[in-house]
Amino acid sequence: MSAALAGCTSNDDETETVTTIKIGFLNPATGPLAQDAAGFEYGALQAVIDLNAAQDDVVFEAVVADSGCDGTKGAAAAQSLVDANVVAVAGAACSGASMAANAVLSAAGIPMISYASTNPSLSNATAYPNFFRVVPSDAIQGPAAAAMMVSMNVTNPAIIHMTNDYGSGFADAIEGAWNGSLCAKIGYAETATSVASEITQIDGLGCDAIFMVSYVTDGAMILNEIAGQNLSTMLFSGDGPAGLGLLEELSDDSVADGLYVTTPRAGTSYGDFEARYDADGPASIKQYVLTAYDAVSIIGKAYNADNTDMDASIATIGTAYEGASGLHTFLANGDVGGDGYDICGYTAAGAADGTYACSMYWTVADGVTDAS
Amino acid sequence: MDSEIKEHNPESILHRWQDLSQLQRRLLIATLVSLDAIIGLLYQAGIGNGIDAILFGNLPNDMVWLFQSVQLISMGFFFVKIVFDDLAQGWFRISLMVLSPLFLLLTVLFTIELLLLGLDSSAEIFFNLSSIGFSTLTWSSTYLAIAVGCTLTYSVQRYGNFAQSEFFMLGMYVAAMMMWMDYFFPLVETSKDGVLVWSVLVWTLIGAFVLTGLAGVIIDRLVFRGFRDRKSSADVMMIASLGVALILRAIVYLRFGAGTKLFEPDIDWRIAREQQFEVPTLLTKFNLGDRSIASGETYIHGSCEQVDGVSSQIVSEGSKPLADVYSVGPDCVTELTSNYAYYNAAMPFVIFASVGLLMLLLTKTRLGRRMRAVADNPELAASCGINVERVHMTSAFLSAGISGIGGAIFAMTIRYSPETGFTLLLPAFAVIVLGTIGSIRGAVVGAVLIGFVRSISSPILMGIGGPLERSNYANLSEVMPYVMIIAILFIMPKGIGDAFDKWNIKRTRMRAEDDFVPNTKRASWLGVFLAPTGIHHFSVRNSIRGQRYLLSTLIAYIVYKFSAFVKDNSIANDSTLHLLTGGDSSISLSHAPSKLLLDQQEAWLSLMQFEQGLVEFMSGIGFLLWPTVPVVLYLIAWWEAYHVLQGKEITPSNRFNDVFSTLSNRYASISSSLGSTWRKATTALDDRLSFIAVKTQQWTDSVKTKVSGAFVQKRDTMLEQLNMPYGRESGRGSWALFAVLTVVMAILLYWLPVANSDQISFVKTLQISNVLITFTIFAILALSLNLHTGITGQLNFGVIFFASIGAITVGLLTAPKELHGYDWPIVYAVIFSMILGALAGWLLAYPTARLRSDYFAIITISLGEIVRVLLGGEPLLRAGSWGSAVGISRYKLPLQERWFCGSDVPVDANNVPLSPLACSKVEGLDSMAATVGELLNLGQPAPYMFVLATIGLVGLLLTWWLLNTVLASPWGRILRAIREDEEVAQHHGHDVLRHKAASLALGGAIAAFAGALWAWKLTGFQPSFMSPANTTFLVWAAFIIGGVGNNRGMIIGASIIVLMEFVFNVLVAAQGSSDLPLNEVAANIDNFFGWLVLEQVKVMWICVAVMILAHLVKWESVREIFFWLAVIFALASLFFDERSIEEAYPSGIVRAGMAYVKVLLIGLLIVFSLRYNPKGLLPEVPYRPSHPAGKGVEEQ
Repeated sequence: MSAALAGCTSNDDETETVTTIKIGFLNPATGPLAQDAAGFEYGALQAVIDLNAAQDDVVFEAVVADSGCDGTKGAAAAQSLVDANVVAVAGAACSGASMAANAVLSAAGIPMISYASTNPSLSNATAYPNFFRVVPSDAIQGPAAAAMMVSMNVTNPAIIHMTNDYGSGFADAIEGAWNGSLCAKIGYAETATSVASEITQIDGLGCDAIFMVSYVTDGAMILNEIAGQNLSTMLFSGDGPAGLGLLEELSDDSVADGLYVTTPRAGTSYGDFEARYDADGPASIKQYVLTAYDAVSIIGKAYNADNTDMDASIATIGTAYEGASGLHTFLANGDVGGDGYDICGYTAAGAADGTYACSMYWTVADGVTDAS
Repeated sequence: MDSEIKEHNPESILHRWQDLSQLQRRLLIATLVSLDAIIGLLYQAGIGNGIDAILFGNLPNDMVWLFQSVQLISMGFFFVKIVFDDLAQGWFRISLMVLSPLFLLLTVLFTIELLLLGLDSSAEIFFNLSSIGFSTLTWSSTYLAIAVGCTLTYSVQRYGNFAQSEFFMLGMYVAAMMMWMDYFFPLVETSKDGVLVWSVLVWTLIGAFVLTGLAGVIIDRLVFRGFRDRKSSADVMMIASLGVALILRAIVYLRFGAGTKLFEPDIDWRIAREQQFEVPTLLTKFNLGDRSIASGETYIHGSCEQVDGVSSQIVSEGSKPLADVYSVGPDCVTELTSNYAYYNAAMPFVIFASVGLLMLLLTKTRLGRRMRAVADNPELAASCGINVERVHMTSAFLSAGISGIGGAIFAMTIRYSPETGFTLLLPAFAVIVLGTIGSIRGAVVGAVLIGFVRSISSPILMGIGGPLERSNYANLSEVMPYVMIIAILFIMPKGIGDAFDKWNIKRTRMRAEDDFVPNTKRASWLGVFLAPTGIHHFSVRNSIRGQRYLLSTLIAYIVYKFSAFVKDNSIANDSTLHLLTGGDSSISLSHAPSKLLLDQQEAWLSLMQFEQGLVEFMSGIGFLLWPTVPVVLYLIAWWEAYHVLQGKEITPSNRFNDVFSTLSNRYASISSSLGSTWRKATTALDDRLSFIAVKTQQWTDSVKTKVSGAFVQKRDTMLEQLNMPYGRESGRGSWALFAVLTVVMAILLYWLPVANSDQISFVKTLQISNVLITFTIFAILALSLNLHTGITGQLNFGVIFFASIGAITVGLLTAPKELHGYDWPIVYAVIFSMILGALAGWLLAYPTARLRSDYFAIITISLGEIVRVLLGGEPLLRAGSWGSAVGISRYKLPLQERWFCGSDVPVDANNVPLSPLACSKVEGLDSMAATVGELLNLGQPAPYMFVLATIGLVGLLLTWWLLNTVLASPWGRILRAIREDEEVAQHHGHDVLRHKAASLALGGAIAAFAGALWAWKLTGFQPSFMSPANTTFLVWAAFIIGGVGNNRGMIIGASIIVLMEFVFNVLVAAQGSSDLPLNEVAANIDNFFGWLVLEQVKVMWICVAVMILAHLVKWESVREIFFWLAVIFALASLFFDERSIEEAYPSGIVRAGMAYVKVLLIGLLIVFSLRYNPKGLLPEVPYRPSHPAGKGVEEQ
């Protein structure tokens, strides 16, 4: 924060008439995702700092509004961003909020780049115009997840998934991409306080692997339960818990031993933002912190591309864009195709010696490949 | 009528039907309906399938079998109801009643079996008995912690407390706060060493009890005492508690942030793999549905058999067994176990123990008797010399404190946020309703039952989720408590506690009637052998003494077991100590965790020494009690038996009671003498200072009389001149105030800032349309609520239930067919949704007819929650996406095409009609949007939001007109009569039930229309849009603030709530940007908030100063408020250390979350409005027929 202020003053000294350009940011500060909002906001503000450090033409400023992970609040928040005269909006996080915010923003011709809405129905450019997103729709990660399990000789996996938008969409995508028999597919509420019976069921069915579609906190809860019930199945997960944050969440690292995850390719992660976040960012869903950073960065760069039509400019900048969350190219409907996934694993022998490393990756063209 | 038919056609079916008893009739209906469902499920040949055939198979197949499954399961409940209602008293009925839970479970499994058979599918359901047991314990204790507090509040103060879960939340955050304290931090921040640390846990539980209890007292003194003094109704207090809940949650959000926390008294508590109980278990596997096995494949049983001395798992071919029960692993040797992590097990232990202590306190002490006296009749209690206020305070303390303990121990099990508590509130309400509101014993039973239902439904839902392609059904276990409660209220309208009480009364009466001769000899012999069980007292029907014996034994044993556990798992155990110290016999500085700083290490050492003492003490108690207690009991029984067998009389000793009463008398005398000393000292001081108070009072009085006298006189003459003698409560006055407030709101709307840009007028139009559409939705919902609650007096907490019927129906029906929709025209869909809303209201009226108002509130709120969860779980309620994404989207929007494209839709190069979006970009197109855009000088076509706002406004005006017309009719007066006194209305010959149903139906239809508007505004929605905190409660706030019973008030209330949302959004945006309007206001709020957080000591002294000042001028309410504020800040400065700021504000800057400030303000508005303006801004205008005597009436 202080860096941003310093940047501002030095700019003011040099040129008096630097215009301030506002970038809207829809943050779920209240509602079910509230606990992760601090991280998203960190990503957005860091992007603004970096944008300002990189050029002297204008001063960017983030206007943050609370979208509440809810359509009604999202629309009201979007209105306040329109009123504040933002050039474009990064957000919202939840799909329902994105849809309602889009109704307001698109009416005013303001483009938006979501950093966390993965609902497939947002892919329709007619119903949701001026809408981009830097997260792949739920449909894309499924094949990567399935291929990862095949490469580790899984034959009969169980999927345990959150029943929210992200969880059920992703679980469906894995099921669609999985060719063999599926041992079980079990949902749990995001607000669940225990997954004991879910794990009992999986244990009883004799599944040879468990794929968790979860975020960090509930992922940790599932891992603890699996360890508590002494299951010896293989463990997998998607991008939700991926990263070192999971180990911080766990009191006992060893419960994550042998867990493999897919995460958008870090090999193509550009810049040092990811490292900075790991060093001192607030706890959150890391994947979306990185995408929040990218969404705001793309808007800033698109504005500086001197194109009066922000929509077209965002599409131009968003071609092979080297973002902290990977390489992004917007398709005609505003989606990103995804550039493959890294396959990373955790190892831990004791309570506090966990490590996290990526040894393979997956692409549509080549399937699972060894990174070395 | 009857006799006529008999004469005409004695053989007619109708006659035979009427000849049957109710039992036979009901049985016949239930059997027929069940048969229909069974045939439908198995052979697809039920009535539902017939309807489907009539509609040419247009009903989704899933819908038919879902309906049939629900049909069969509800018939199961109906059979149970028949047993309860219609069977003759006797052992047969009682045994059926006892077996009914099992019967219901079997009905569910049977339904699933039939369903799966019909679908040619199969499912495997696992019941792990120990695991279900643990899960039941966990859930029931969680619910109980809140439910017991609620029950206590209810039984003493007679209102349902919506803030109870917030006390639970406070407990959780007290735990976080204690963990962050510099004092305890060295113990918390140790590394894994295999030794459980107990002192942080113990102190936290004590702290949570005391601090949360104090919070309860503060809230009781500041909020609820005022309501008690005014004798406000229970409903008013319940709604006020809603405001209190909002305030508390907002404060916690502001101070602790939204990030999740976890209470870890020591990392070892969280190592689930090592610190756990392993309990042998029994696994039952049900193979439901198609059980055949393809030839060549086999089914391996879980159970084993011995063949030639070698045991191995049974293998079968052909078909699977229905049930497979086993307790060993695949090797047939290792016993299966279930694990219960210590941190999970601690919760039920602590909560059940504290509830037990509370029950002892309430039943065995004078305090408990006083509380019951106050609960029964406060006036009588007061006249008996009981300090009623003090009893209220004690009950507030206990009820908050016990929920606080529950919260603190719950905080150990899972990461929590300020919302976590609220998610537990509704099931807790279900618990207290089930257990009959106000009965603690009932609450315990209810909690166990509901916890069990939730635990057992989980495996069933998971098992069938896969085969039915509904893996999201797992969520339904969340709403099982509500389903259960609705079913149970349907069977027993007064809950379990009431049934138990009735049974108890009957038993006592029967006992009194038969002449029972106690067999003292047998009792003596029983006592000689089995004294600790108390059976010798039970056998002579001296159950109080028997209970005392049994309880003493049980408690002694539990404490003994617990202390043994403590000894094993702490440094009280020598081997564990050795593990920690690496062989040394005592702890020294060298064993401190190396990651701590030096002074922290020293603190660690002294804490560990204290810990040693504490755990020695805790482990010592048990060895003191066991086996001492049973031995003493034996000795007493032997002594008694000796006397009885000798034929001597024994009089039960009163020495215990004597000691007890001397003690309590001594305590009373000490406290009263202390009190009188304090009073003497303070009165002396007051006397000396009283001249200040007298002077100021004289001065303020004189000013007040002057000013207010003049004001009152002026006002009265003005009102008289304006012909509105009752001010706001006369028709004209109400309209006048309404006009003034409307103008104020319009100015505020106009003021809402818009940044300067080249399309400023367009943005302003968009903004106003956006505000107006949101406002009309809330206003229409408030009107519907006013009809239900304000006019008819039914406490409807399910506003969103009715609204969601509209939103979901319209969304589903108008979504395109290829995206799982039905492609209906919008008008039909809206009409159909309103009919559905009306139907839901109508049907709701009948089963709830006999329920009390608070039960009705809980049922309606539960219905909303059920729909919310179904929206996430049921694939039939999804549309708008190619896959099966949750939620409904991509439905048609009314007039959208016509608005942008005109009546003649232009086509593109490929002759495809343009989309509305493309039309809006075509220059010079003759469309309504372009015309309006030109009219308003926007420079571009007007936004679509404008159309929605217009539809909304027209809808609002129509609704308003309709309601005003209807309510001015005699029917409106009947509804008001029902609200005032249902029984009187009934005596006057009105069919109350039918009028209530009609009112619910009309309001339901109106709310469904608002729901449709809402859906259009959102353009797509997910289950989260239904969360009651964002919907129902806001409408309630509008209702309360606006003015109960007055439709104009609803308009004002809704506009206040909606504008508040938008104004606060301006503040939120301004927080980050210096050139936005209100930036300074936001900065000032931030600074003030930062000052409150960082300068607690200063704040405290300021509060003290204000308090003294207020005391001097005898301004009691201000004095009280600032006294408590000073207490809060004093405690805060004690407990909050630097670490709490780092943890709550990760960026290092203390900033007020404006979104929470808004919640805080709404909460305050509700509480203040109820307290100082209980009728709302625009109170109801009572019907005053003109009196023949004209003016004379007004003078009275």
